[in-house]
Amino acid sequence: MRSDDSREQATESAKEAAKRPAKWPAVTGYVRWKALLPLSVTLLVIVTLFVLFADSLLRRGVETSGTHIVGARVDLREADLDLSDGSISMRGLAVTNPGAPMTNLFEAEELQLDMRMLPLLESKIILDTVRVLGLRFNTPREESGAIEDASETSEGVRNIVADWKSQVHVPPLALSTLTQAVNVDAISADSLATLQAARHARAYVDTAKAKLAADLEALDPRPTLDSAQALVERLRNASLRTLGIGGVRDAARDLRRTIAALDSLDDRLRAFETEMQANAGGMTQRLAAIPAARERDYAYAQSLLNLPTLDVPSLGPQLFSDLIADRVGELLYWVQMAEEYLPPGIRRQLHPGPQRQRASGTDVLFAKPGARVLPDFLMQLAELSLAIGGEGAAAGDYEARIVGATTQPAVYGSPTTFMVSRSGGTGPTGIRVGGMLDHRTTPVRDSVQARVAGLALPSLPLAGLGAMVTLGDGSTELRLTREGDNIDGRWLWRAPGVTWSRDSSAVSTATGTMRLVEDAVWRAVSRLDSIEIEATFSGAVTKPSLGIRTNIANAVAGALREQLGDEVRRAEAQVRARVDELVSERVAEARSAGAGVKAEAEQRVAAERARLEEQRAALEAKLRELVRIPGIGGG
Amino acid sequence: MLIIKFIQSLFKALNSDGTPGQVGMGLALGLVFGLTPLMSLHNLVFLAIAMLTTVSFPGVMLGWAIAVPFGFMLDPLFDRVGMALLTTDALAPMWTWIVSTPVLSLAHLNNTIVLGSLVTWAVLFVPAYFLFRYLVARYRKDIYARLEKTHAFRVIKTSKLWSVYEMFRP
Repeated sequence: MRSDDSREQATESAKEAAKRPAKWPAVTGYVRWKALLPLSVTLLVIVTLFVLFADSLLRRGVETSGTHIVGARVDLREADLDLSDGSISMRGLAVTNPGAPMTNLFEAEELQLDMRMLPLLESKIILDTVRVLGLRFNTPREESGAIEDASETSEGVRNIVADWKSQVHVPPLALSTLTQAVNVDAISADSLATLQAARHARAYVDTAKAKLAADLEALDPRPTLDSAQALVERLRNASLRTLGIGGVRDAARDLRRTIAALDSLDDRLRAFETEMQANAGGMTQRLAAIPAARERDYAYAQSLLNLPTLDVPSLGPQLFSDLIADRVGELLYWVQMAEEYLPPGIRRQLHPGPQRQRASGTDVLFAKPGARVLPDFLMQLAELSLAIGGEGAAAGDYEARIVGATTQPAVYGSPTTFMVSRSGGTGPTGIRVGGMLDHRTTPVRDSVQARVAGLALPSLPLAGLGAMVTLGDGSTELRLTREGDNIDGRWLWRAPGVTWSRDSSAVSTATGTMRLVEDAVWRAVSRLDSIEIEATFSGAVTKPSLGIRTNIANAVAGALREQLGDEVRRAEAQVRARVDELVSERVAEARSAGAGVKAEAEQRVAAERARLEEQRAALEAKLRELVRIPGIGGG
Repeated sequence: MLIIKFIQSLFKALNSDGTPGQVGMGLALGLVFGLTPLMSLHNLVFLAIAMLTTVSFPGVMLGWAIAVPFGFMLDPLFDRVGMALLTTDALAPMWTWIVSTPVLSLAHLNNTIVLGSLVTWAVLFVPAYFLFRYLVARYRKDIYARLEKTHAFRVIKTSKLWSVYEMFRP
């Protein structure tokens, strides 16, 4: 039976085949065996090309991704990738300082990396160990490492830091203005906060006045009071005899109703008084803001005229604000970049997909803290060795260790830690740097402590004083803590043996007074053997407040007080007088209007209340008189 | 030249060896290269399938050419589909497993566009196969005979441009 069926089927197929046009011959079977060889060859060629060009691809990959992350050029001279054991050797790494493109942030002669191969199949880069040899910092570049198309991240952070720097900029100390006539005409009335405060207060007063008038109008006590007065008049001589028992009952009812209306009016008057008190409070508050605004205006006007302050805390920023802001700004840049590239917790579960011609889409991270999942990038241990040559106090060998650096701290589950220590060399110098970046959850917690002694400190120009101090060897201490969006830090530089030089070209020869001042300041500062500069910064990580304290400021303030105290005070008095002159009229108007509105409203309410009380007393007296009549009762 | 290449692909696919089913399968399979981001691991797999199985390879090429503009056009839709799938809590364990599995994680299926376009293609695959198979059969049965006799068709087939193109055709 089965053989008959097969035969029948074969016949049908043959007929079908005969019907099919020869133009489209059937392709039999499911596998195209002939393609196996070309496909294998193609794959082999791809693999061979990859192996041949892996080093070059790696080098370019490091340069491209490094440049993207740093926001400035990253160069790598050569790279060797050994796929058999996952070892990578890189030579000649130079990372540009994004804040100073002609300087390298650091250069490394050689990097040896041990990479796990299997995680590559999960597109994850896990580096077990990284050894960095021949690390040097702040080396000059032959060509600029600035890039035109910096990544949005680095560009954004750099803009934030630049904004902050412009905010904390304090104009340098300008002694020359003291000996010049103070031109108070430069103070513009439009820029004064006091006038704005006075205008606001006046506007509030006008609004409050209109509102009170409208409310009083709506309240309108006159009809009720007039009606009460009319009733009092009508019943003035009324008695049982004149009204009769029925009339007395009616009169008592009218009296009660009118007294109730007066009670209601009394309640409304009280509510109006409460509103009036609130308005009076608002007016008082606004008027009270005027003196504070005036103090700000004094300071503003003083800064506008570049009057030097003799106040020690203000002198530090005037001497070093730009210099310190540059240093702290660099620190803030890296603190914020650390947050960008070491995102905390699960906040960054969604992030943009790769760049391609098609839309990038969104990559969704599926990794739970504690699960046996590897982060996308992990450098378990990096050991860095650097040597500082020469005869300087800092000469010697140093080693650094970074543990657990990862792009997904929440997945890795441990904070990133780092430390730097001295491993050899001579001299009394010491270095102790340690820190932790805990970005496992929000809020992020970062902390850095660093103490470096025997450090060659730079020469600093003293802004506005025509002097330069060469700090020589000294020490620096940095303490930085960050929790969430708040940062708190202190950076201290100590130089025990400084040398001073006077910039003769900057010494004024304009007036004798000026020369006296400059000489006095120079004598004061040049007596200082040791210098201490302390910068403190705290507040929001994007715009912390900056304070600068230095013993140079004490010396300068002392000298200035001695020489210029009277002149500065006189100039300050002129400035204050000018500000007062510009604002006093408006302020007086605002105060007077405020007081007027309050008095008027109080007077009006008092008058209405007095009339109300008078009418109520008369009505109640008459009611008492009528209810004494038998048959009328108290109801 | 692109248009000529497209027309050539079209005729080559429609007139290529194989049954309408094989051509239809080739076309349906080829859609994946146009709908999903080309440089993806899954496309390497589908390319191997297209080469090693007896689906019509010209059909695959034609399917790819047809789908490319739709791929760009539908990216916002793919993004939404992918996002919806990837953010469904019930599926999270599966995605976690996929992105943590060696080789499979290279497919980048945790990207909304990749996943959304791949899933969309997978949903369309069977209907597209039947539709293409039907259209190819209809073409061969009803249209080709008439088209073959048209002047335009003969011009295209015999044009020098076509011959030149044929010489350089990969």
